[in-house]
Amino acid sequence: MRGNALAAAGVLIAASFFIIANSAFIVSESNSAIVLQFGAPVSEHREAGLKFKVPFVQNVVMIDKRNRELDQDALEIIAANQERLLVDAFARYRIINPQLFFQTVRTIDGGELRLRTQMNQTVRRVLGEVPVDDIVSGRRNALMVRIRELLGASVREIGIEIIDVKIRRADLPAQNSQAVFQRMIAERNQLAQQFRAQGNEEAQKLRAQADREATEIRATATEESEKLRGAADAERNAVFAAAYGKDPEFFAFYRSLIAYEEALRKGDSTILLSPESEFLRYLNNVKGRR
Amino acid sequence: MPWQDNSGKGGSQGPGRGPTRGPWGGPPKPPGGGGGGQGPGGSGKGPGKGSPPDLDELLNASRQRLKRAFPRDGAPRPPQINRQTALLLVAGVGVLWGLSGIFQVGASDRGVITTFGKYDRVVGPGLHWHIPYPFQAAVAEKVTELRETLVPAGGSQRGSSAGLMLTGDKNIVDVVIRAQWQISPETAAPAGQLPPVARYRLLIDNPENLVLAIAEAAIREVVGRNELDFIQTEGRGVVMEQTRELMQQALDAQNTGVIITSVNLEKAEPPTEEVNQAFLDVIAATQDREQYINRAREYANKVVPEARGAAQQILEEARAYQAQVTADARGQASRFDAIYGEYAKAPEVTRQRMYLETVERVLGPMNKIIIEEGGQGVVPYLPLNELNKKAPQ
Repeated sequence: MRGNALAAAGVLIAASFFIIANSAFIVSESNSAIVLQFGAPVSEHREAGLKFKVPFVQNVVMIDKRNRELDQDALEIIAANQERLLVDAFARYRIINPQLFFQTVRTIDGGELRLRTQMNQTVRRVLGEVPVDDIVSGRRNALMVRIRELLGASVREIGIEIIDVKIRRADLPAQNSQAVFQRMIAERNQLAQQFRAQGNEEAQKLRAQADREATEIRATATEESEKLRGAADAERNAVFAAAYGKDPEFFAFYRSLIAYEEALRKGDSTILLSPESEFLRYLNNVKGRR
Repeated sequence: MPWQDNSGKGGSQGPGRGPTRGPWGGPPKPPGGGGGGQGPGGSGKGPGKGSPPDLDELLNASRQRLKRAFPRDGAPRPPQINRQTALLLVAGVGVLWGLSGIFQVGASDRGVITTFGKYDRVVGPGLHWHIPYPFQAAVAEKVTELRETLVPAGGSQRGSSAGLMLTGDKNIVDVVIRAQWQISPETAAPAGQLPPVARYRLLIDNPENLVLAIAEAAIREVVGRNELDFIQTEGRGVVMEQTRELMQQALDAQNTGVIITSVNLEKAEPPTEEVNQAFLDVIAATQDREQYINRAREYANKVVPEARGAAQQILEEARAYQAQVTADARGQASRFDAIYGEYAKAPEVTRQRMYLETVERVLGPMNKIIIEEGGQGVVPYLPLNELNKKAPQ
């Protein structure tokens, strides 16, 4: 009957859908696929696209084939010069051999656990061979390349390729950081002190120079002035000598009179006079005493 | 959700607590309550959600509607109409399916099309079509728009150690950088490789984290190579450029298709407040130094001219003295000369006169005591104290 035919067609279509859905699978660009038969890998597909497998007896496992990040917690390592350093490194890796990967570690988590352990060891080993200065500045790049190579060699057996390893940070542990801060402060203080001392030195120099210059100027002026005064006194003496030399006896008389007048000008002196004195010679005697 | 809201509103007229109906709208059973009476109309609005009971209801509803339209026709007709509507339905679904392959790529985007997961092509901005699901799929990714990555992630506050880095001279500096980047808009690719945007989208796990990690590694490497003062002052540009180059190298080596357009050093400061104070103090010290020197210069500029003035004064005084003394001497000399001229004419008389005139002037205002020499009967007692006392009065 018509209804039966329809039902049969429906069943057929449903069955073929079911079979197709169980045999076809899509592999994206981000994954590779491993086909397992009763749990054992029989083939792998690294290319993306529509793939087929035997339905029911085979199943598919997708393995990420992208460039993946492996971040690691910071490690405290001891460098060759016995200084400690906190190192935070990360790796980028890719699963290049999905079948090998699946056979050895099965899942991404398992693989990353293995990878982390290996990386931890490699980082410690490589960085432990060199002093801190090399890690921080000098040979950072070379060290990263070395870690990448060693790590790459050790994880090839689980089908992983290391694309890159980078030291994200390499810092001093907290207590050492404090020491560095103190040193930085001390250095800056020293520098500040030096600047201030330089300022004082320069200032003192300038002041001393100025003082010396001022003293010199005054001294020169004083010298000149003394010369002038000396010349003036000399001239005065010469003038007096020329004038008074004409009659020294009269000069003595004349000069004495001037001196008496000058010296006794203020009227508060008392003088004892004898009637015999030259001034009073006519006081008692009209003819004078002599 | 909109469909649930509709049914909720329909039912809410009964119980009268409309807006709070949301929480128990969870299970998709709208016609159970208030909507039951007008079931076909209400449920006809939202069949597209496609859960099985809804489909049944839809079919029931349309069948009932048809029965209402042609009430007396029996069994033979429904199959015909069913086939017609089924064809229409298939065609409609087919058209819808075809239309679902249309997608738009924004002006700053590129679209990546994959066929069964395999990369097919990259398309630029505009309206495009791909063979619909499940054959092809398309994803759009912004390429020309600049993206930003801050290191340390989210910037850093003072006191946090996220941005602290060791410098080449083993100091510590607090650094923040901002990297701007984009995905290469190139749609062509060398043989055996995907174009950049497809690589970014399909071949890298968490690419933004990759850029961040590489930025962090690069800035620390650059800071570690340089000295603190250089990083903080004239080396800023160099640090930015070197960081950019390092990042680009690392990203290129990993074939990411990312282009770093710029790296900006937003902050390069002392690590803690105390250290910062010490740094500020150095700046203050340089200013102090200038100030000390300037004050000394001021002093010099004051003292030297003052000395010059004083020197001039000393000289002028000396010259004045010279002028005065010589003039005085000449004056006295000429006075003497004049008197002497007179004296020479009549020495005795002039001498006597001069003497008397002078003594008169001198003794005039004085206290005078005249005592006979060897005086008889007079006790020569001089009350010197009293005499002296009188004087000040």
